[in-house]
Amino acid sequence: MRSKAVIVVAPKKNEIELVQALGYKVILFKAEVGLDEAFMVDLPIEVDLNNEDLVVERLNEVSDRYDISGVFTLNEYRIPLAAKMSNHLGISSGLSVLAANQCRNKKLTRQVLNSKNVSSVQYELVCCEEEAKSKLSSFQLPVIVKPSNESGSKNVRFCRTDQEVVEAVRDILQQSRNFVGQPLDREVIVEEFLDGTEYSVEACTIKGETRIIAITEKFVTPFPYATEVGHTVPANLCKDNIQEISQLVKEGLLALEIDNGVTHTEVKLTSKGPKIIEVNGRPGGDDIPVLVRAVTGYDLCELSLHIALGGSFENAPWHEPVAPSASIRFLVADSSGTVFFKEDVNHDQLYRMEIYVEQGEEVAKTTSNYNRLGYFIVFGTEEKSSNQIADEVMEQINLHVLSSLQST
Amino acid sequence: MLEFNNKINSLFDSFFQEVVEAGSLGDREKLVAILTASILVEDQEALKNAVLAAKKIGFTNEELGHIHALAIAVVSQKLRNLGDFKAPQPNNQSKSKCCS
Repeated sequence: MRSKAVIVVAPKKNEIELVQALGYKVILFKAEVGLDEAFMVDLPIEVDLNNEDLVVERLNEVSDRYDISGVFTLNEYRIPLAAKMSNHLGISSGLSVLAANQCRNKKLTRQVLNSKNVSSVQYELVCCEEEAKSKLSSFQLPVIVKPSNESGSKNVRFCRTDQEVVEAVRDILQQSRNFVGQPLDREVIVEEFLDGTEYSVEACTIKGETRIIAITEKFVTPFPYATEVGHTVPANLCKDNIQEISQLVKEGLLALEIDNGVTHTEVKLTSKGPKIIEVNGRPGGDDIPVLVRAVTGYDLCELSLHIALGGSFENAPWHEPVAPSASIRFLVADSSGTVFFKEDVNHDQLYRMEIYVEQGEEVAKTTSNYNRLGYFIVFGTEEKSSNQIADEVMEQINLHVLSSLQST
Repeated sequence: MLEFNNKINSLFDSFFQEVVEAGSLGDREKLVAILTASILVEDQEALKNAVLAAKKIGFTNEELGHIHALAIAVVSQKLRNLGDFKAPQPNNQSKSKCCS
């Protein structure tokens, strides 16, 4: 009898452990397998994930040996590949290829949403600087310029002038490949700037029914950098706003034909109502799943696997919630210089803390989510919100950066 | 010089391929030998490639663990031998010819 196995594609978090905890064999597909991973999984397969023909070839080799129950990834770049692999194996318990592509490629997300009149946003696709210049006349500045198929806010620019738009388009088009080496879409998105507080909606859709698991409030530094400096679950929103945002996300997911998956939808609450920024066919990053699990009892990563294996919401894994609110805060450098902070921080509600820099180290000003200095997670209590506790911990850490002039 | 290095590397690769593909050992036996050797010479890359190949033909973690244990056992024997104090043998034959 063939063993039951799950294919894990380019894991980002604890995908392998989650699958093993359910007793399945793990077949790992990854561009470069580490020695630890090679030992850890049952069948490690090193393959160029950008070469889909080669992936299918390897898939055919293993599908004879194992009874494959699902294809699982939490890796944003590999969601469409996982969907294609599922499709090739005839597994229906995952995102469709169409839905995966419509989430992954932000150009397609906008096209579909606008065509179905859901969260319409003014946007144009441009292939060169000249085209950007000519199409700008229909916009009111500032605008956002972003690549169609990158991730993690890479190369997303806030542009106040025509010149900045032209430069942003040029910078994006200078690159031929995205972060994981896939060809970068040659159509760059120029879209209206949506002003308002940012939220993300953590949801799951199973057999056509979408449930909103949580709404996360996001704390972001002002433009041009817009670095995410914190998240809190649940978001501090009135009932009407919760209803409005939830309804919009449900409509958006339906429009994008998303089914059988966990989604992380970024939304801005503008003066004209909520608008969708982007939809991701996976749980949110930045440890949002840790916050959601603490507050709701649903582990979004676990839930993703459960859905990939054909599970229903009724029998979804659930844990006793441990806090009414939870927050993550990121430590950032507001200027370049020497960093100082208190290392031995104590607080009963501090769940986890990690600082990536050493005391007295030279650091660059934090300008993106990729050069933050560390983070901590706190859980709220009935008496005190996690936001208040996060402020207390931040005060204790007292991270400050002295410019070279100040520190001498 | 770079060209020379490339040539040497290419020769090593060909030699490796030839040795791996030829011979009378079966695939599993060859892999056991490669795994053991790569553990002993502490070549992480060779070990990883050997593990990938071994798992492809059905080696389990238990089997790989046993190979690892065997390699460690061999090393421990070497250490044990180093630890054996061998006192110089006394020479009973007196070379002195005096008073004989």
